[in-house]
Amino acid sequence: MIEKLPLSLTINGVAVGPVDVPLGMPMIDFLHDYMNLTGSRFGCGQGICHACTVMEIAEDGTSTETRTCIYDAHYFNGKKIVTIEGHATKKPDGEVVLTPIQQAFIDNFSFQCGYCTPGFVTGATVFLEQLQRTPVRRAELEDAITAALDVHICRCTGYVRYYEAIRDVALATPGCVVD
Amino acid sequence: MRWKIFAGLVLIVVIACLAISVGAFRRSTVAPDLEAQLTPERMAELAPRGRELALAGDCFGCHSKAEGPIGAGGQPIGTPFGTIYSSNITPDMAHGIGGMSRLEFHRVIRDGIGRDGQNLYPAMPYMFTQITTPEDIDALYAYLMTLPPVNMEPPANTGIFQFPVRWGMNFWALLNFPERHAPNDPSRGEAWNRGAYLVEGLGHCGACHTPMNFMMGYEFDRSLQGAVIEGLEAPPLTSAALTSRGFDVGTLTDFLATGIAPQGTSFGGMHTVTHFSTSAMERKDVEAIATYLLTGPDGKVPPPAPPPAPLPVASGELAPGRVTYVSVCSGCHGVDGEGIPNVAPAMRGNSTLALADPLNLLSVIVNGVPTQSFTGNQRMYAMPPFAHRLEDEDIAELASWLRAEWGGQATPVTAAQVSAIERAVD
Repeated sequence: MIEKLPLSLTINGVAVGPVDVPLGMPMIDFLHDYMNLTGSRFGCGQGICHACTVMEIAEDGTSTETRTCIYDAHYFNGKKIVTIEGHATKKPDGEVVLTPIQQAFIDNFSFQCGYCTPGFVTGATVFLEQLQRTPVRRAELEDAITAALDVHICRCTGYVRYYEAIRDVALATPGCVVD
Repeated sequence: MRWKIFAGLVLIVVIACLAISVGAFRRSTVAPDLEAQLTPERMAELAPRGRELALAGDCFGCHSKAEGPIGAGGQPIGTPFGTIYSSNITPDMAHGIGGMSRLEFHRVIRDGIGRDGQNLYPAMPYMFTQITTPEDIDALYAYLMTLPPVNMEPPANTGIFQFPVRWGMNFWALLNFPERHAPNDPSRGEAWNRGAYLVEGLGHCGACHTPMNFMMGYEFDRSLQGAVIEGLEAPPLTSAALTSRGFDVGTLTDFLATGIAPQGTSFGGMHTVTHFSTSAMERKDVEAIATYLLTGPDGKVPPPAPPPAPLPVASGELAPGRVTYVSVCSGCHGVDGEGIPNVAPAMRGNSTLALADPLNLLSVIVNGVPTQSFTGNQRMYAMPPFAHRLEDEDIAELASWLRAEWGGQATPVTAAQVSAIERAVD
């Protein structure tokens, strides 16, 4: 018999649950199969490629990046998360408004196959939020981008364009860089 | 009359202290016939043997920074009294040992006395290396002189070590530097004797695995019985302790030679050892070390204990720990604790769970482990720190369940034990 436990959480601002979910079901399966949120990508399944990450929002509003292939759905019980579907907003007339990072990735032709992109959007968004809390010197920005996004793997090797896009947004966003 | 006796006693004490501080009681075990330098041919002949000994001694673990250059020193060694920076042991004339004579080198290894007669701090494990044979010290000397010289001066020591306190080591040595000899028992065979020589000497296993007294001297009467160092337990290496963790000569040799065994992967300071030292040594020397450590007082290697059976706690008060394990840990370590090769070590059979003290288990959960590489292009992916992802109570329940399920340890872990763990991250 599959052992199920009730799960409640907030996804993209919407309260979900309680819903009975098998113990041992990876979060990405819950997002795909229960929530029909299929934007987060299942890549390596071992927590290495970071294509599957979502933003975990703490009570103080700060975000961290969390992998959904290695954490069970029940790890997120009671938490607030933002999946790739929750980044862009819609105007009342239905027009989609991308976040600066999403727009910069398009402007820089950052992705090719796009499989890793949800993870990069998540990672870059968390990074920019951190920069606004704790800005870095201009001379240290490149190293900070590398350190923050280093764990994300792009098999098309589009790293340079991701990197340039993130740098552009960091430089264009007030409060991210000092000097 | 009485004041004369008193003054006499004071005088004796003062003279004794002066005598100690100038090293009058420091003996030397270095033979005086080492004035003659080795010939270049003899040096070349000895160097390969010296390389193996330098690896066994993990000289470069301390005498190099992680990023190199090799042997150039500068690696900080933290102590409660300040930071000591390791010395440059490349043959550089200005900052290394290029100008060190053979005799001076022997005194370093055997007496803990540096050039110009200055005392070395016991961060240099001369309490152990003193048992090295003169021929082997010659070989080490010959090998180190083949290193590329690096003109780099290590940073100045900090804390108390920035002051001229080396003379004080004479007092320390009087109490903490017993004369030791390599164990030698012809009845135990070649491997045991070789292992004993390496473990008790150059290998200086006891530098971490032997408890220290309040002076940071080693309690050699409790040799290799385990100690806590830098926030982690260096577990006991006695035959009984190792076999209870399921080690036999084969698996312990594999662990030392690769850093990976069914009992778990090396982490913390031991990863440095397996990575730089034991994985690079000749297998027969590593096997000798395992043989020596595993041989009991009766001269036999006991059979390894089977992995502990799960304790009947799954449905009891420890069940919340199991839910945490499955929802937080099992993605990498496996629902049945089987792990994923090159990603995360198995929990089933992992002997860190079976240690009586949960310190290492809690430290790893709280602080994580960085990505590590092992012999043969093997690696383990970084384990994230859970200090901020789980409450102390959750970690305590998780650790209690892990220990009961795969470690045979019934004593529950408390949240207070978790909060007492040193945090590497804020």
